[in-house]
Amino acid sequence: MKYLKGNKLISHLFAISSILLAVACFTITSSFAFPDNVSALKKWSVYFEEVIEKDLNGDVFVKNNYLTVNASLNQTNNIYKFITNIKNDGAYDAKLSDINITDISNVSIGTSELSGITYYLSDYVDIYIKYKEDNKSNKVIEGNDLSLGDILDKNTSNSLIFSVKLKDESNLTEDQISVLNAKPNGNLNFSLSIGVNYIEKK
Amino acid sequence: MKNNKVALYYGLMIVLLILIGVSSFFFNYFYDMRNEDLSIEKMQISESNYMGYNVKLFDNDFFKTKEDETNYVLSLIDNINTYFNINTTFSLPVEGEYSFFVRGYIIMKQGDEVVKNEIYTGDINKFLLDGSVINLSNSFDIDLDSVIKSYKEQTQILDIDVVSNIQYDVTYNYSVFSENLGKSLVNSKTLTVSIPVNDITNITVTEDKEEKRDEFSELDYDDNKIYLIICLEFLGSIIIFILLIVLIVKRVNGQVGVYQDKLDSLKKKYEKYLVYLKELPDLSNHKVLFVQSMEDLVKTSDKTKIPISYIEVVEKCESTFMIINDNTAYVYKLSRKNA
Repeated sequence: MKYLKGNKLISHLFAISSILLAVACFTITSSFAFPDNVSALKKWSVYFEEVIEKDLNGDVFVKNNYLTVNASLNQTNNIYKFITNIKNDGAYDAKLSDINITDISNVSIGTSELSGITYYLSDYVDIYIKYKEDNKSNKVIEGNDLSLGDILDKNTSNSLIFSVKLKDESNLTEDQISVLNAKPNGNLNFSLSIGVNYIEKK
Repeated sequence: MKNNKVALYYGLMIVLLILIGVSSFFFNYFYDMRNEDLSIEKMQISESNYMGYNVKLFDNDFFKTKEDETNYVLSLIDNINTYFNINTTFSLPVEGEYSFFVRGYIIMKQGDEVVKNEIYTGDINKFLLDGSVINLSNSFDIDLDSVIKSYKEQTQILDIDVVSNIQYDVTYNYSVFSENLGKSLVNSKTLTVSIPVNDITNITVTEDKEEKRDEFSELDYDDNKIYLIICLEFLGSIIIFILLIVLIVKRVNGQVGVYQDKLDSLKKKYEKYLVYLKELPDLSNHKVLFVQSMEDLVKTSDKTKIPISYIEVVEKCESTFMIINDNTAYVYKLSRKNA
């Protein structure tokens, strides 16, 4: 009887200590285990690629998502055009949230000797940024303007045509034309910067 | 013949000692960690930035970029178009807001004295974030010609000789909350374009940078109790293991004690009947009859007039008493089990 009692006590104590150990192990594993699916860091990468084509009357410098344009226009050569791709080789779909272009209404071209009015680049040129090709996955249509809200899915590249066009003389006043003609060789030399900001598409 | 039960008990004690060792190690380990933060969730964050500029000179219609040159005649600079990009990417989605603003300063140094005058205050631009990426690109113009004119007027009036710098700072902040980590993440960064006020100035901007870091969740006050619970559990196990060892030792010794006492008592009581054997005889040709008690064997000895042969088969464990009569052997076994 004593023998049985002793054995029972030993087995009960062994059972309690095993339970305590098991609970400790369970607490440790459930509290401190790293989750199975630790998220890997995905890459964000949206940028202008190097210029594919450009007219000879200017130059373009590309830095990530910024373009610096130096160009020269006159009545004979009244447009400066270049083509580059905006590329998304990151892991996120992107949406265009901002287009930053130099405020050409602040870029002084010259002051009329006749009227004393200062004219600015916005008086002489129009800037266009359009898609060169259709891109069905992004619903980009050839000839459409680059617009806020445009989508650029991951692993996608869209070709863009940038053009700065000198306004036709019929759309300029004589005063404005006189300021332009006063330029050396009648050339309108200018610089602008164009930047695009894409954010994560949700 | 070995007693398997005793071997089992000794084996169990060794196992218990090992368990005590392991439990003590873990008790100590978690006790040392009781005030530390322990991570169960991890997030990776990538932060990058770049800054560039285009310089518009009076005697040049075209921009000069940062890559063209960095040294300029200060008086020929009309305007500096500065652009920047800041990107923060989180490996897990977050919610919150980010912002940036631009401030312009003239920093004047005379000896050890430094005076910072704010010359431009840009708006604070705020944006909401519900996702994994902050991507911020923007630009601003520094009308350097106007700034220098104004600065020179001031220094001429004050008639002071100072070393000065024109500095524009882009300050970027974010404050987001991560559900996965259960905590807020806050960071701030300043990108700077600096133009020393010298005849020949060297424009510098913050270097392009890309870095990654990890963020971990933290256990809150309540979670820290987990350490104490674990320590108590291990401590409880250790105490019980020790108790078990004590019980087993007592049991083993107890069984030996009871057996030994009984054996000594029988040997003393029936000394005159006993004949001590050196080895166990071969009883294979005998009919072996087991008796219930020593008293039965003594009665048989009295009747047959044959002494009782005794041998301790297993020391402190089992003894055999027998009477061998012709072809019959009367046997009584005393062991720890029946002592």
